[in-house]
Amino acid sequence: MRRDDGPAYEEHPDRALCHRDGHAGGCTLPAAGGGGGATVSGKVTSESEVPLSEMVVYLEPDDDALSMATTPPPPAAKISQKGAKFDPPLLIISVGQTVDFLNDEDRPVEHNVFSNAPAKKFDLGLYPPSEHKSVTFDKPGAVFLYCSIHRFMDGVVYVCPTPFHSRVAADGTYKIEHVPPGKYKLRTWQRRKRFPEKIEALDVASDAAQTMNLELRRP
Amino acid sequence: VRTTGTLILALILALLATGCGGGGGDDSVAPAKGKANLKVTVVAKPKTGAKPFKSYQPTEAEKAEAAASKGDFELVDYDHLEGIVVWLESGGTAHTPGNVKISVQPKPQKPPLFAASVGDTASIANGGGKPVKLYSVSEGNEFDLGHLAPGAAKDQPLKSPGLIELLDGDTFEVVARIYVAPGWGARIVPAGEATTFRDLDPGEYRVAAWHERMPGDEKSVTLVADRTREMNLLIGVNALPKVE
Repeated sequence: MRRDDGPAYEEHPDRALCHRDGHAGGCTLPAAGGGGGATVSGKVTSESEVPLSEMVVYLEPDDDALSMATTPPPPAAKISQKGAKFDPPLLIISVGQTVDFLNDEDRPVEHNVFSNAPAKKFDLGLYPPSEHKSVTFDKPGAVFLYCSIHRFMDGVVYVCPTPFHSRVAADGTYKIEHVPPGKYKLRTWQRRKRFPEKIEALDVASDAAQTMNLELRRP
Repeated sequence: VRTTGTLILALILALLATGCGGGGGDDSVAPAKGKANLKVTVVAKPKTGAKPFKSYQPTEAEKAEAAASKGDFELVDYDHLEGIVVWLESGGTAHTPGNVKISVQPKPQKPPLFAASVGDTASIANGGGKPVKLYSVSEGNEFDLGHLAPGAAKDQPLKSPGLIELLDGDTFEVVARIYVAPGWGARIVPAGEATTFRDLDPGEYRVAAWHERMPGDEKSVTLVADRTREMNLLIGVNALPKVE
């Protein structure tokens, strides 16, 4: 990915970091799912049998400019509310990304999605089946979702500062693709926190595959 | 007639003592001389001001069915909303850190919530019949109490405001939760009920309420000597920014 004639990325006036081969109409970080870049993968283990599937691993660049999400942001993600359940119950997105909240109940049930999280406070109001409303998440962090009508309806949108994130699979593995070279902090976030979060320094070389295993332990 | 007159006189005296008409009245206990009381009622409100259901109007029977729903469709009971913590901030009243007693049972059906104030000490006891390992990884309040024999207790200073999840080191499940308020005098107050902060020094205070899901509330209040001031704090989603 890195070209010989200089750094692969340069800072855009709006502080987004831009690829030198940026698309017309707006330069962009190579979005997760795009080509090139390094792959960071590994396995998360813990001292217990605690399932780690509701866990996020993401990269936070040392250079603040890299924290900007891609321009344009990834397409909108969707969360279903059918059966008075948020599906997926944990959605991982990048800063700047929009989430579409669809009331897809098959019976006349209203929902009222809201969050009081510091990263995003919002109230979608009551709306009936077949309607949907969207929210753009502009700050990183955990945004816990609730319904003002239904007592047990909860979920979470985890907003990562970059598109370089992965949900930890049931077997503890994770994989983050298309990572531009640079210095990063690899961070974890657990929906149900049982261990201190991990922060590991990571120097990503271009087009390389890097392994970073993580072991979670009690303090 | 004499009894009725005595009752009326007693009522008038009680109203005067609690400062009714000057800032609300508490007809239970008057403040000590030169002090003030603050009676706070927590009110949880469902969504208000919503647009009508455009495409469908549920029948009364359907509304009743929804209200009686259990399981995933069970409704939030705003009249009996639990887990609300109320506390005071600032004010001239001297307050010393308290001790919050927490008895932990293994595998509770629902982890109980306790209220504490930052600077308080939690006295955490093993209320079960087997030894237990207890720890917390909640931000600002990380600790490991090690093994606690049945009936044994350990003290843990509560350093930072926020929610603490007390974890069982064998099952890694939450066995109790402590909301550490960033003020003092923290206590749990169910929706619709009132709590009274008694014998406070007159002056300016902030009073606040927290709920894990819903936005809380906070208000400023001026307390006057020999009076009881009453106020409401609102819990509900109506305070959040609307998305159309």
